[in-house]
Amino acid sequence: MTVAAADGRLILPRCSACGTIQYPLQETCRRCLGDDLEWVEVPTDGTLLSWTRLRASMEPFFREHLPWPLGWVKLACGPVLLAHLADESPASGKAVRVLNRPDTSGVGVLIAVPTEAEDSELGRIAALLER
Amino acid sequence: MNRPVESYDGVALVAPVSLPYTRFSDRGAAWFIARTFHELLLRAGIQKAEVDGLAVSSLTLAPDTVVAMSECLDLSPSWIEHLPMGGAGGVIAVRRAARAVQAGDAEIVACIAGDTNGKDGFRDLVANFSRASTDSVYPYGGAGPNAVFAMITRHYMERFGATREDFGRICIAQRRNAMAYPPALLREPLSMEQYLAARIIAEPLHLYDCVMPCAGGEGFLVMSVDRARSLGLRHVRILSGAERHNAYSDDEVPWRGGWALYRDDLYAAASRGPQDIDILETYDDYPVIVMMQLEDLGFCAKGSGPEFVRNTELGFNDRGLPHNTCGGQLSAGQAGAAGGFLGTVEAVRQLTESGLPNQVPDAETALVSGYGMVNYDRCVCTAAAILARGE
Repeated sequence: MTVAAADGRLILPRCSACGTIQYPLQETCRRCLGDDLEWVEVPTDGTLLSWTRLRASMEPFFREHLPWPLGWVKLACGPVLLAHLADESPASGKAVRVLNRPDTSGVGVLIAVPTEAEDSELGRIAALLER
Repeated sequence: MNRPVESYDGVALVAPVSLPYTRFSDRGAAWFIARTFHELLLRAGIQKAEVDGLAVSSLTLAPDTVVAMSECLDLSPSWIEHLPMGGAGGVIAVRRAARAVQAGDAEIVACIAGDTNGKDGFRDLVANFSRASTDSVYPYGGAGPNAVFAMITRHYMERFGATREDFGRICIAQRRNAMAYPPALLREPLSMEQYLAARIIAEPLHLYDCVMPCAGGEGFLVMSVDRARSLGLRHVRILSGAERHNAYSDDEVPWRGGWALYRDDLYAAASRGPQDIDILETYDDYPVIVMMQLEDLGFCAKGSGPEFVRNTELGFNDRGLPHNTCGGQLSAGQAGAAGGFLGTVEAVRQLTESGLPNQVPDAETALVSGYGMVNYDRCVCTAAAILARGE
């Protein structure tokens, strides 16, 4: 995922034997136990399952920028993943896209944005992560 | 499960020990485990050499395990077990140690959970809790389990219509129980107004929905009923026990737990029903998980947890269902993995001691439930046991 962050694509492991997309990352297929996983670009669309806004954090970066929104996203291609939430009015069930963007140290991080939002309007959270 | 499960006849749980909790400590987890072990020997009136089984549960003992503790305590056990199941550790310790005694692998098993809490210890623990959370959860907000369970709580509220007041009833009842349990760290009265107005941690969780990490130890001994009687120790019997891990993994957000899969067998093996439970000790990392246990252990239907807590007194001396009778972790504090032993030790204490400030009157039967180890987006381990006062 770090590799693909520069151009924003979402790249995840897919089992060559059964097609299951894996997340969190692991070296064997959680469905069929196969170990032939290949990195593939996956569609970014998903649904917001639930969300929160942190008012406390153990990490200075987030402590300085509270409240910090997070969301669980069910990707249409299968996995459930945790992402920063670039949405000032989140609601469970909302259609979202998951972007894979580099943070300030170049590591790819996942940001969920409302499906209809333009990439240029990602708002406070995305801007803070990329600063 | 279709094959018959061996009963736990002949096994005794004795000597409930709760080492006093402190908010912070410079001592290592081994100190808490060793001092709990020392107290177990005193309570039971036995010598160290008589203990030939050792089960340990600890988060901050790492990289050490029960193996290091064998040397630290200078024991030479014929049976050891390390239990990395967090909040399910106490019930699982009961199950493992009972089978060791039944099989003749050990005669007296010490089951101990202990953890320290250094000033930055909790952050280090959470940031490195599992590979999945280190890679895919902690970098998102640095909030650990509060973020995960905030979202589980929100989902449960949206799915079943639970309100903050419903969760508050659980927390407030536990606080009232803690006020009669001197070792609890949080013993000031808690009103609904205070509960609702407390500062937000992660929406919709507020301060009193979250446990306070601390340092401490909990333990008990497992031996034969014959041995307990010869030592003159009051004991508790195990009527049934079960566990299930990674249950309902297809649920996109957890709203139920493994208890629902084995609760019918659990009650059947004990020849009891929910109405026969005099004391219920659930794992209370967050009130939403308490509510799930109330449902999945058969005290009410799925989704009826809110209605149940509105209509049921949960105090130790109320006429409803005495629940988390020493205050649970939410009021006693969470001493790491010892939080997974708290309910087991409290149940054994209630059923073997008298004159407790928080004594449940005329209690014969207890149900202890565990839930543990957030690997990614939910706890993986669940366990439950039905215990009865021994003759």
